[in-house]
Amino acid sequence: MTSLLVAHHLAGLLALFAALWLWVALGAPQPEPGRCRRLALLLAHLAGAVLLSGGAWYVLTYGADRAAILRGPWPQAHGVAMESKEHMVFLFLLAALYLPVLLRDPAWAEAAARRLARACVALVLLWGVAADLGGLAVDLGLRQGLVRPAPQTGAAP
Amino acid sequence: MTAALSDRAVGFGLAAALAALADLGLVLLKQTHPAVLAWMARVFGHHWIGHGVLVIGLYAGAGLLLSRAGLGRRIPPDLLRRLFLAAMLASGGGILVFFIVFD
Repeated sequence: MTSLLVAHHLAGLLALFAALWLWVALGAPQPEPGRCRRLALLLAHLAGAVLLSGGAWYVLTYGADRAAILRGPWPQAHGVAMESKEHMVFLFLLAALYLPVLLRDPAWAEAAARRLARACVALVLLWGVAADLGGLAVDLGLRQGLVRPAPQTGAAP
Repeated sequence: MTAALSDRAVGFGLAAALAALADLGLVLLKQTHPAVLAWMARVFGHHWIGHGVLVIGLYAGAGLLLSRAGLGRRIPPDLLRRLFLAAMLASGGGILVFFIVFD
């Protein structure tokens, strides 16, 4: 199951790199259509990989981590960070899935269409970084739960 | 004069904005109605899987339908960009505020 988490992190990192590259490619004075379309397709596939690997890990193994987080001093790591992250990931995926559709349009290189494409890429970056920070909070909350669990009521000190 | 996008590009752009708002709507619905959460868990095996199927299914279904509505000439790219950004930011911001306030 650790491999799912590693795949999730790596796919997310590569997706952010692809989004940055696409942002730069779209901002060129004469954007190269083939490169932009390939990058958009790559980004959509990576976003799908992020969702599938992270989703499988969340559904199959997160329960034990959640219990540890909720026993610790930072329950918000689950209640706010993980809950927000697991739903914002769909916004990340939607923005990434729309880019290949938009960049297949004959008018995609027009200034207004490129502004739309760059807005999509900016949203991919925004939700990607937000999910990354959420993951950091979950990791820290889990660590706190394992290292400093709250004492059980009635248990010996 | 700004060149119009195709019906397909506008249809799927609007569908993505709709699906983003549905993402927020589903969060509010299932977190405030335990019966909905339980129904999604029962039907899909896990509520999060159901959430994903519904959001992505709405994007695909609404995208195909709206692509046939001839919206390419009626919605210019700048308007689509504003709608897209507003829906995405409202959804993400709404999700974050909901969990901060009601956690």
